[in-house]
Amino acid sequence: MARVQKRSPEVFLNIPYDEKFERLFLAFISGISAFGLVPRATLEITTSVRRLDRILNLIRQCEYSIHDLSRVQMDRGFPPTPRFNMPFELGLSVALEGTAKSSRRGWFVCESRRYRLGKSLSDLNGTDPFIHDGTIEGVFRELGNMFRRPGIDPSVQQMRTIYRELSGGLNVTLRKAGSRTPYTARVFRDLCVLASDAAEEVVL
Amino acid sequence: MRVTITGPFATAKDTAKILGVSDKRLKELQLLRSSGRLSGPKKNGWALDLAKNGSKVSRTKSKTSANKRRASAPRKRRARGKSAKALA
Repeated sequence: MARVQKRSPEVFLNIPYDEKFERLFLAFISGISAFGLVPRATLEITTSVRRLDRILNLIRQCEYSIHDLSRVQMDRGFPPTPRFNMPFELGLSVALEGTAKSSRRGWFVCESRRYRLGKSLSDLNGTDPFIHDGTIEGVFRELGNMFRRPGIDPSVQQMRTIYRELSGGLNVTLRKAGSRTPYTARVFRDLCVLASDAAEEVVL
Repeated sequence: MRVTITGPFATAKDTAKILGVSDKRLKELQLLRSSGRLSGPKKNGWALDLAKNGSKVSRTKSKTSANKRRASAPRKRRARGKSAKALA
């Protein structure tokens, strides 16, 4: 007998939390919600106690994960260091998928430029990254190349409609949370709920 | 290769439950959406025309004060033009 799945599938979103990425951050939330998936991120983990364990648990409970490596580069602050969080979490996802008890079904790597992944992470040679060109449309296009949902196949236009609502609601959400950045637990949760509500109306 | 998603489509209620958002907050967010305050950035006149008619439409030029003066001038002076008045 087939196992009845009660929970909606979740997607672990591994992205850089920087100002320049804000539009793509909203685009990822909009697109993921359009497919009826629930975005999850380490932003939800607010306590520093056993942070790594909680990240592992979060990845484990998500069926899919999306890893954006487009900002793996040196930062401007002193001392200049590359950002290792995203490749590290990608490594955790790949390792977890190999374990026997895992319910994970897939991980995807995103990049903004072709051939960059081969240079920055040659261990993944043979894995085709999803190139979004650093644009909102690119993110929607690549999400459409990653997922399909029988009966419901959201178009780029539908994802853009959700994005517009989300982008319009960002300021209200930020004001309510007393935050200047969308990269906080409360704002992230509010945005995900808003996106799901919009997706229900636009896609279903 | 595209992955086929199985499992129910996540509604706002499902998402709120998974992310630990309270029912009260969910209702607040749904109200915020239904109030139309999240319709996105306002479109300008041209964009609204474009959305409404599907193509650009000609719009009358707004009248400048010089145009208004010219329009209200006597017919004779209108025919002579601006410089003719100065010469007279």
